Amino acid sequence: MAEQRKYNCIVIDDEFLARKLMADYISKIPQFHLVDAFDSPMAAIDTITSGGIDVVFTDIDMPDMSGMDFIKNLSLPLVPIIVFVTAYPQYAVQGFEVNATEYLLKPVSFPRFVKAVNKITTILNFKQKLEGMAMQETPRPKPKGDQKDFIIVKSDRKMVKLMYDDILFIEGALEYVFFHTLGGKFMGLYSLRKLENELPGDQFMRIHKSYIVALKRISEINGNQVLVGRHTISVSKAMKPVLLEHFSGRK
Amino acid sequence: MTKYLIDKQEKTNIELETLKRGKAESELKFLKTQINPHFLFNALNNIYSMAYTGDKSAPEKITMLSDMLRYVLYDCESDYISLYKEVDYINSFMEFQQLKTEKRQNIRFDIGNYDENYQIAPMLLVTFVENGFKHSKIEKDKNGFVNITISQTPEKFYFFVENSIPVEAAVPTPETKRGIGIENAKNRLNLLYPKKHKLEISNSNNIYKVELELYK
Repeated sequence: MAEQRKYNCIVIDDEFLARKLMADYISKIPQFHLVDAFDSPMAAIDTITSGGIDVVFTDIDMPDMSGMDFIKNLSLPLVPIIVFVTAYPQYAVQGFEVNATEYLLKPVSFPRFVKAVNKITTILNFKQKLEGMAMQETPRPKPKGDQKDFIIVKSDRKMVKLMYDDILFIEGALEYVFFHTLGGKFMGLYSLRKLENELPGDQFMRIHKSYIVALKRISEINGNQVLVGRHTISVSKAMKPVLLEHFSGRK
Repeated sequence: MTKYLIDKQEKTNIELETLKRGKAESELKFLKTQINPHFLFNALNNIYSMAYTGDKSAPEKITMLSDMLRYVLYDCESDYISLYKEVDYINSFMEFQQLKTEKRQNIRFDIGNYDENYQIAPMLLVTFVENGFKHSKIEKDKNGFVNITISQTPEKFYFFVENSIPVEAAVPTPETKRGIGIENAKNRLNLLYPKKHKLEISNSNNIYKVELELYK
């Protein structure tokens, strides 16, 4: 068993005692490491965008900027686990709309906090496992026997036929994926793993644990970022050499 | 004919009843706006945090919060209350405000001679105090301040709040946002102190000032 990495957490709350309590709780969880605590979302932004943060515990109602708006406007290749800690039950639905993992009502008891921790660590451990698998697996560039050039996706209650040619890239979120296509964005109940096997390996590549990209749609590789249409997505360290090889050999 | 009259009477009664209910509802709504749930839950959370981390002043903060709630929920049902109750509430409010930051904030409350039993409209001064704190963002602005003064002579009651306005918010807060609390207070002053008060609000050089005088 590989060594268990500690998960990096930050706390955002405008009240000093609220930060103190969360910091105290986090310090009691052996798998968690408190990186820092901030009194406003703006103060936290640099730390979050620099990466490596696994969990964000944030208040919602703060004087400068609401935690909800802050999370909504986060555009990161890998969004950390979001936990809202607030006195207001009425934001809960909105919270889940922005994919918050947990919603804690103040005052938060330690047992309730631990319950949230269990949920968070389950997700993070699973993510880590996936990452491990993605790194071990090399893509199989052999095309499938049949000449299928489309995929059927269940999106809401519709069945949508997506031509391989129209797909830009596919973004994985826990139990579903987003197909970014020329015609727009579709959500589908699929796993990236399953898609990786189904899509022809000469046209598509899993370049990151969260992304499968249509190779011919890549217009630029810049560091560990890839430009696909108007989107910038990340490529993992492990996959970058494979991608570069493909990218340079293609023309 | 009699039936017509009875029906008509009934209709008027119903109308009257609806009116009464409307009035009661608006009064209730007014009272409800006096308890700010944001303040209440944050106060509870802060006390929870203190109790959890073994801060010895947690029990004192609980009694303080109870007194505040009692004041808002019960005392505020009357049109006028004794001034010392309003002063106590402001003192407690400032204590909870101080809990927001690790360092003490620059807050002053000067009370000169005053008649403890002077009768005043409840939550009237509090509205201006809360407003001052809200717009000074004193918990974030290192140079921020809130100064409150109360003084009294036999002829008049004098109340003054000034608060700094954070530099980055040089654009004044739009009136709509400043809004309801102050508007409410103005309406109440007109109702309860007709021609017996003077209210002056000014906003210059990044300082917001409220000056209130009440006459006999």
